[in-house]
Amino acid sequence: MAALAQAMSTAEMEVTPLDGDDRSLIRRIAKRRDTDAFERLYHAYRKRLGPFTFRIVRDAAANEEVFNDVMLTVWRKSHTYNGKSKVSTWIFSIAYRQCLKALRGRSRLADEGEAIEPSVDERSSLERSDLVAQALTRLSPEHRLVIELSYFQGNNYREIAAIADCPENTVKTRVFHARRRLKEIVSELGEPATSEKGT
Amino acid sequence: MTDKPSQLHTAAEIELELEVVDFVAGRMDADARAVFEARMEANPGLAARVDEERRLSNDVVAAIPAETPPAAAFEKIRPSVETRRGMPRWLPAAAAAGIVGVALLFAVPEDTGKVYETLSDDPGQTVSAVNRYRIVFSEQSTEAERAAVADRLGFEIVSGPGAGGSFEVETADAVDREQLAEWRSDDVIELAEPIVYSGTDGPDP
Repeated sequence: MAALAQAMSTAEMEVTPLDGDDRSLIRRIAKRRDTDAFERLYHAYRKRLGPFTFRIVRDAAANEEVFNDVMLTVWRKSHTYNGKSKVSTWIFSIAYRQCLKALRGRSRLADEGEAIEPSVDERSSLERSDLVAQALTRLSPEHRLVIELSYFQGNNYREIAAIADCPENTVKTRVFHARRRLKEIVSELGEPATSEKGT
Repeated sequence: MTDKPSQLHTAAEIELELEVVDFVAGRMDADARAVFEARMEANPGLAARVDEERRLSNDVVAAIPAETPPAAAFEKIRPSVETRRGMPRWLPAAAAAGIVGVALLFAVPEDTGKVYETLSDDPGQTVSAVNRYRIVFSEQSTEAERAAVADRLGFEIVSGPGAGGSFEVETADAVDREQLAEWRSDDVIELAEPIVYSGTDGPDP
C-alpha cells in the first residue's frame, strides 16, 4: 500500500512539479533562456492549466492557441516573476487575463454574426448539464472565470484574488452573484421544457 | 450579456451562501466543518441549500469536458522559443529581411492572388497573400490608443469597426505566431487572428 502510494506520488511529481520545481524551472528560463526547462514547464502546465483554458474556449484548436499564447508570455516574461506568489498563481494570472480578453473579444465578435438561440424543441431535449453548459456561456467573462476557478479548479478566494488581481472581498461578491445569475439562466433556459422552476 | 445582480443582498446573506459553497467544496478546516454540520442538523433549510449547492457544483464540473492540449502543440511554438535562445531579438527579423531581399533579386512577379501558409494556420489551409488580420480592441480604448498600438506593432487599420467592434488590419509582412501572441498580450487588444480566405475569395483590393 505504501509502495503504491509512493509510486503514485512519484508519478504525480513527474507530471505536476511541486512549486519548488516550478521555481527552479522559471529561474532557469529567466537566467539561461533554458528551452529544456521551458519544455518541461510547458508539459506540466499543459496538464494543469490546459483543461482550465479548454473549459473557457471550448474548442480544441482555440485552446491550443490560448494555451500557447499563455506559455509564450511565460517564456517572454519569466524575468518579471518576483517570487512573491506561487509560480502556478503567476501562470494562472497570465491565463486569467488571456482568457478574459479572449472571452470579451469573442463575445463582441459574436455580436457581428447572428445569435443562434436554441428552439423550443431543442430546449426540451437539453439535459441539465447542457443547460448549465449554455448558461455558463451567458455569464459575463468575470463571472464565468470566477465560477471556473472556484468550482473546476477548486481555488480558494485568496488564490482567486491573486490570480484575478482584485481584493478577496470582490472575489467573494463575484462568486455569490455569479452563482445566483447562473441559476437564474439555467432556470430561464429550462422554462419552456419543464414546469419546475429553479434548482 | 446581462448578468447584473437582480437584487441587493446583505453581507450576512452573502457570507452564509459562501459558507455553503465552502462546505461543499471542502474548503473548511475540521473545526469549522464540525460547527457547520451541527448547524445543518438543527436547520433542515440549511441542509437543503447544501444539497442544492452539491447539485450545482456537480453540474458545473460535468457541463464541459476538460481536454488537455496534445503534447504536439508544443511544436507550434518550438521555433519561437528556440530561435530566441542566446540570440538578440532583432536577429531573426534581420535574417528574414536579408533572405527576402535576396529572393526579390531573383523573383519574377506573377499572380499575387494566392497562396501560402502562416504559422498560425493548420497545414494546407489556404490564405490570401494579403496579410490581413482581425482585431478587436478593448471597449475602453480610445482612437489615439488604437492609432498608437497600430504604429507600435506595425499594422494599418484597413476597415472597421464592425458591429461588434472588430477591425481588419494589414501588415507589410506576414505576422508569425509569436508576434500575434504579442499583439494579443497588448492591453488595448482583446483578440487578434489571421483572416483566412479560401479558394479565390479574398479581400477587396
